[in-house]
Amino acid sequence: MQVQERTKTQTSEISDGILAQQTLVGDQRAFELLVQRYSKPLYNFIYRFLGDYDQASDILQQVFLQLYISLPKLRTGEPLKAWLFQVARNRCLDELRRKHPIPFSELEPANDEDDLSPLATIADSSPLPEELAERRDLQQSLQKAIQTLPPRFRSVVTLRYAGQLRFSEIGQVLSMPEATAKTYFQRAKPLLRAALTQPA
Amino acid sequence: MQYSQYVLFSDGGVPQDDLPIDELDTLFEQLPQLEVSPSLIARILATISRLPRPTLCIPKEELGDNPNHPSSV
Repeated sequence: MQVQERTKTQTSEISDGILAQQTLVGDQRAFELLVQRYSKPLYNFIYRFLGDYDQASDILQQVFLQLYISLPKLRTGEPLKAWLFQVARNRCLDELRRKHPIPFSELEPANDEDDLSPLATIADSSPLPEELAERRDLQQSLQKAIQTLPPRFRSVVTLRYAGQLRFSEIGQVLSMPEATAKTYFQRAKPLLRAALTQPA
Repeated sequence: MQYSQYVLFSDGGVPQDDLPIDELDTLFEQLPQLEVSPSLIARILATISRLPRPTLCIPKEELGDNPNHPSSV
């Protein structure tokens, strides 16, 4: 038991870069560790973004396939975690685009922080109806609320809530400053509230 | 530059991440973190194992005499 714990701790201490190097020299176990490290947050992010288990499984597979193929070229200094979520998000957007055409303006993470009115950046602190929390289908409601968001807000919200990324990491994934990621997150909240308070 | 000095990825530092937590955050924290099924992991690894090993393309002048580089094995 202690040996297992020690091994787990040791493998979690190995950096992504080392695991990638080991994969490149033919160590399949190193790639397996990368898959184990990132499959859960990626899967949760993809599922919450699309709301479909089968699609989430397919896209997760595609992300790791792309990682494996791209390993020799990944020397940009970008953290691997952000790269993986960026690939996952792009695949999700492809999927959304396939199902419903998305207006170009919704896809581009425009850095329009300056365009925001001061009111839009203030967090809406109005309380949610208490009875909402008591609904048996709360999880479904939350999932549906995420699905109502425009893609750019959905990305930030799912990266935060499902991928459990820090705002600096979200900024890396979406190629925007950390402050803009925070602003998008705050702007998404009133939309989430509105979706949650709408009658089913 | 030796192979061992190549930086593939830089691991980011711990950022300041200080937005106040509100009741909406608390609500969404109740969304369960889904587990990835072992069969899906196995499927991914099986797919990868069928692919040829990726090789690092480093310019020859950067390799030096590093006997550990994959291309010299």
